[in-house]
Amino acid sequence: MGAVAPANAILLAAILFGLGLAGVLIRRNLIFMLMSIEVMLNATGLAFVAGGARWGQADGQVMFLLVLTLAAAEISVGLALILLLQTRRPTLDSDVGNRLKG
Amino acid sequence: MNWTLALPEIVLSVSGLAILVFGVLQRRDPTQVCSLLTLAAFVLTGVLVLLAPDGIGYNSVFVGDDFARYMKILSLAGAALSLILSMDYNRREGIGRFEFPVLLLFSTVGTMVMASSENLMTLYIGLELQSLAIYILCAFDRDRLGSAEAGLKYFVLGSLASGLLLYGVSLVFGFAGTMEYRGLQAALSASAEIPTGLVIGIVFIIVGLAFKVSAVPFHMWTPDVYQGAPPPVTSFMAGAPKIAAFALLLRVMAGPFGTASHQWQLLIELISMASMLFGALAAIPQTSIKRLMAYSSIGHMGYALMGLAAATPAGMRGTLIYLAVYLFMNAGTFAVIVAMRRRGRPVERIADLAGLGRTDPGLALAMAIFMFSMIGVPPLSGFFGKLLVFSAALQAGLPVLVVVGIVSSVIGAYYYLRVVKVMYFDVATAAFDRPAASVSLVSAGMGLVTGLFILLLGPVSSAAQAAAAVLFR
Repeated sequence: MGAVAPANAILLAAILFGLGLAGVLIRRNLIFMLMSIEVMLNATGLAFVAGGARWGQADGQVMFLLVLTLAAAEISVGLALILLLQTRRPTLDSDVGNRLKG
Repeated sequence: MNWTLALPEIVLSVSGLAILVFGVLQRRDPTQVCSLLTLAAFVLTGVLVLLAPDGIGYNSVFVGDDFARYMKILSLAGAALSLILSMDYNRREGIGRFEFPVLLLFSTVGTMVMASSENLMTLYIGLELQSLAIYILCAFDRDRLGSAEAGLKYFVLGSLASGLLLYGVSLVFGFAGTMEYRGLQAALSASAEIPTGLVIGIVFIIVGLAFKVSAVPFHMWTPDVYQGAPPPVTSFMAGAPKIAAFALLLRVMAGPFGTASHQWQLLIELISMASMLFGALAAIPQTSIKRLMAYSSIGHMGYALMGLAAATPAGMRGTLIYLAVYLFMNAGTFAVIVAMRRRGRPVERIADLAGLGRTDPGLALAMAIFMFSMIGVPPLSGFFGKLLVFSAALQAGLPVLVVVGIVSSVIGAYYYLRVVKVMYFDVATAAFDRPAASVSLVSAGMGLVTGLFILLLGPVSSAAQAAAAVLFR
């Protein structure tokens, strides 16, 4: 059974994190931004598991479980906020109707 | 296991849950009662914090020491002041719901957990608990588009910051093999060469926390969110969460990453300088008092970071005193902003303050004290805060930082003095609605604290000294 080297997993996590970050910064659709945040958080989860494997510690997996639950909590708050805004103005584009400026 | 370490947090969380259940079960509107209960819970927790023992517990993820105590008392005070402001504001705006004090309470629990973190895990949990509650609070005035937008904006940028911070934590864990502060400190001082991955991790953590304290260049959300959120929420956001984020910055940077200070010192220095200058320059064209306060808060965070950039016990003490001073000035200023109402509607332009010196001399005097204190005029509290961080930075050999600080103070004086000029020398317009007794109490009380801070300087300074000493064990 070929085990994945922790270094490769950390590299993959870095790539995923970069994709998620780019998604939040580039995408203008709020749902996609939310998804990109989710990708970022899961990438860090992978990095934690890889780190735990490298040092033979359970802390990494514990942290992954925490990240998983917190990401769920975060997304539920985010979706509620998007829904709230959606009932006030019928668009998901984050640039349209930006009333607070300065 | 010494579980009494976290007794204040446990009591506060349980009372939050109890107040929530109580509120749901009431048939009549329970907002007022729930707010008062929450206030009582804050006071009780404050007493428990002062009595809580020192030590490390819960499998070394949680610590009780003088530093945690100082930060917890400050954030409880900030939360209680904002709650008092919110009671009247929410009732008049018709957004009085009993969830408001409960959410404020849970956010405060988050700030307290952050102050007591002894492990990067606890740091993240506390940060998320605190942020998630604030996202909802920002959007609390849900029928106003600005409030909902502020909530969403803060949510997107706040979760981005949390993500960056978490990634930093994962890198630190991946390269150091531990998340405990003591373990990290040992690992860092043992190795001659710090791995690049670890340095990148530290930078990510600094960036995440800089977002939370709204330091330049991570400040973009601040003016919009400050303007959109209801003012009592803004006064809370400018207080307790920033204090908690500073608690983390100080604890993490001075403790585990203290031996690597030459790696991050320059970064903090640059952030501090940029915040001070940007806060001073960008505030000049503002016409809304809430936006003005947002830029002023960015600037103040720059001054507070100056003490951290010095990376000495004196610098940390300066930062701690600066934070206490800022908390009280800020709560008082927001009490005045909450009192700015005409014919039952809130107003927020600086021009709306015209002639306040004649229509409401007491409120105008309080506002003038806060503005002069923010400039740093002796003998008001802001002067001592600035004096301590400036002298610490000078001693640490950072004269450029001090020069930038003095220049931006002078620029900042322009827009603070403009508020005073509008209040006393412009033609008076209609008087404000009569503010509630609770709001007047906060503005007068904070005015006294700010004006007579010289009497409090001794105790605050010795508490800050003890707190800073803990960081350099």
